[in-house]
Amino acid sequence: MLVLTLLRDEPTYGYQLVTRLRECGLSDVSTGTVYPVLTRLERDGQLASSLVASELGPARKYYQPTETGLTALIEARRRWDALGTVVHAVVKEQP
Amino acid sequence: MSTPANRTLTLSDRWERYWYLDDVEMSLDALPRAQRKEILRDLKANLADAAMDVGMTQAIRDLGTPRALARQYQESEPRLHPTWGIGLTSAAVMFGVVVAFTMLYWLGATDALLQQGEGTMSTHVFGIPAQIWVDSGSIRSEIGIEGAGYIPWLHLTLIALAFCCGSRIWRLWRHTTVSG
Repeated sequence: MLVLTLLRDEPTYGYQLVTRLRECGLSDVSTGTVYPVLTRLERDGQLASSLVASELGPARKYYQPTETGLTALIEARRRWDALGTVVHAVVKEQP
Repeated sequence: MSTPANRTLTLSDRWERYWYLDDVEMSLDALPRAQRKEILRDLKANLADAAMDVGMTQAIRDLGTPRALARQYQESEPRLHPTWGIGLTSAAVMFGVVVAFTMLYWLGATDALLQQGEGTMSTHVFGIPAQIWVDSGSIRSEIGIEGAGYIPWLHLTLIALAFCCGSRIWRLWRHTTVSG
């Protein structure tokens, strides 16, 4: 969900996405965790990729969500909110 | 090794990436060939992108060990497949071991008879009936032909077992689903 959200906001290449996730507070997240997710989401049709010329060197592979990905994101967000509501209610009841 | 300031991949960078990806591929045997190629293609592109920011050595270090990375890819797959290639290799190795042990046993038995000068030995080698004759220095032997309908069950079982273990054939029935 986080990957799709960040890529929806701004198409990004793999390493930059990891950097953005770290800046968001996931300081322990590694490229070894994120790259497999990108590969799977792209194969599932939730992400599309394109090569974008870079001033620093060879063209970079940028990812962005497809319509399928955006639909999946909405569904994931709905389930996350529902779970969050339940967790919040349970925790609030505890002393 | 390139630094971020170099921006382009040097020969050393490509060499470093090649060996890393080679190790990853070896650990991805459980996945279909097409899927492995797709993963390696993506990984290659992502490593090139990361190398422009932090250098190839750091980019590879961030990924962790090839085996750990391969595990991450496999765990993100909806289903693990049997490793037929390893299964066939295991079965072939087991076949070789069985043949080698059979030959060694036969040579040992023949040598023992030669020490005596002459004699006949009826025995079983891994369950296969065998006969060896030594007569005045000449050797005749028969292995596994006493019964026309003889089936070497022990051999077949060992080879089949090696194939099943090597190919992780139980993955045909066990479905592993991991959410991303």
